Amino acid sequence: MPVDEDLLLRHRSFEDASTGITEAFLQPTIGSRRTVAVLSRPLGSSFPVGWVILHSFGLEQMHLSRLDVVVARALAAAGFPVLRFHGQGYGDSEATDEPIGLASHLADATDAIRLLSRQPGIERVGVLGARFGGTVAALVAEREGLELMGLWEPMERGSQYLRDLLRARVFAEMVGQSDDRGAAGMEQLRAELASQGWSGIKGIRLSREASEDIGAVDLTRDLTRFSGHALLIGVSRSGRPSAGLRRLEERLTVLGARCTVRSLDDHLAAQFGQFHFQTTDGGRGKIDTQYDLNQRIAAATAAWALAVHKGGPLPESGS
Amino acid sequence: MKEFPVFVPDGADHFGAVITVPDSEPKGLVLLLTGTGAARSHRFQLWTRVARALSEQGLAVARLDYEGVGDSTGGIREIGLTLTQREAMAVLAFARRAIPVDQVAVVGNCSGAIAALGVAAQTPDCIGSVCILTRLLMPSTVNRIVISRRGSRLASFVRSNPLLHRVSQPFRGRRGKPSENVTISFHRALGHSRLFFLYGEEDTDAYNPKVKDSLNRLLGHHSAEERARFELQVLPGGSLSGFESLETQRLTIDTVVGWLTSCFGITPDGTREPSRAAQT
Repeated sequence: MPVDEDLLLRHRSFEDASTGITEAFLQPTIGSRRTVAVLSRPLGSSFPVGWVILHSFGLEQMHLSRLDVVVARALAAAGFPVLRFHGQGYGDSEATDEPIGLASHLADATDAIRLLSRQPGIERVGVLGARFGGTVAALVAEREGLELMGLWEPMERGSQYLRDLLRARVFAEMVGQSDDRGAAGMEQLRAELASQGWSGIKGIRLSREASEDIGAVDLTRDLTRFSGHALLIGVSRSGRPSAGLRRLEERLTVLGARCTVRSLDDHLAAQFGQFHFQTTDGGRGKIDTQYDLNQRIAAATAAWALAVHKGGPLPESGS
Repeated sequence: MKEFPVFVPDGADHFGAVITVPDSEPKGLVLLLTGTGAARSHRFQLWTRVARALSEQGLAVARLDYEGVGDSTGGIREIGLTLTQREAMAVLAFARRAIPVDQVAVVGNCSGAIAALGVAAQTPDCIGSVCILTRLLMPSTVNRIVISRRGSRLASFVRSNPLLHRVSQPFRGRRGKPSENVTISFHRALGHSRLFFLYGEEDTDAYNPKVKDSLNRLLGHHSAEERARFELQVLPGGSLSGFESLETQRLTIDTVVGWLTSCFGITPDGTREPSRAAQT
């Protein structure tokens, strides 16, 4: 018997009356190749402002993906169309064997913005993202002249992000070896990147070009003309924004942007972007330690987006 | 090959899934299950790559998001291991409506391996189950603490300190009893399905002499014919936990795809012979 393709195609979307949203799978070309995206919309009328959510880098893409989904659904329930997608080299994308990096993320982001802009009823597009995704959102907003961006605990400086990434592999390889292996390991890793042109870092193939591009990012220097609305959400154990977020706020204010800073406290803030399940009940279950944080970020983002769109008073900066 | 992303309805929920269909008439259907927290494509696109490789061999493949994970609806703070496998069974039933096949197989990793056994146990025409890094034994109290903190900075510190790492070694092995979630499904599944357990050579917390003894005791309840359906392989070169090595990813994909094509009796030239399970 033949495959019932019609049945499969009829299930590309669903409607949820209880939350007031509908979602549809798309299979667009993003980054020159096919991938899978999801367009979330309100069931009723939509605002003419659409949002593209840009996922983070490497394994963070997976650990933060539920945050992206929760925010997309909160914004759709508030009246905004939202597009999320798998960049090339991630998830269901066609590319499975090509190096990922800042350049591929930026190219994918640009295509996704154009895709959403072409959807009926969309007049303006904003970008959102967590960690590395937030950094890409800021850079692409600047390049594309967008007026709206929301960054959740963005990577302000790529050099620190890259150092943490490389250190993770060195730590993994140090097990059972001498203490002085750490510093030497970092040097060896950098030498491997330089000589071989790539290195396997915690399950991803990191190219020399990607490492150089990421290491060179400094948002306080790279943002030179963004003057739209910016939401900066910080996640910290103390509930105070990090020094990096403060520097970014200062930079955006100098550029003339209208900046809203929200700082959320979370006792596991240091694990934001990492595996977030803890074993419970004698190994019979696991708790999602990022569940509440996702809801709080989504609520703060939807409230800010509504205030910006309606021209009302912006939510005050603070915790 | 075609890929169909779908939302599979189940009560008030919709589970995100991608169904891969080969160009030729499917010779069978394979269900791919991730471990905790991983979306349908799995870490580093592992299941995306496995699905496409199996599709080239003429097999249809479904990979799915559990409730509250990936693109599925629902929001759950706490995930429990159960014997019902709601999401997996719903997606399998939906996929079989679209793709009429007479044999299926299932692959699962970590907690997904336990789910895979559950699916195999409930599916009489399941001919094979690949269980990657199955944790057969319940962890001890100390081991539970170690597992729950393994992504933390404290764990990173312990791993980076050779002395602490050595001292913590005895607490990392599993000392508990076999989990009922595994054993009940194991016995039921082995009644009709081949089972293939896969570990990495460094996965000593999940596969060690205690686990070997427990597996032998479990197999002792079965006839020789059923025991012959059980296979176990330890892959060289590291741990399968997290698949954080490019070589481990490649080796896992090749091994899983090779075993499944053999399970469905697909020869290298793409034709199909009766599988071992089908002959029994």
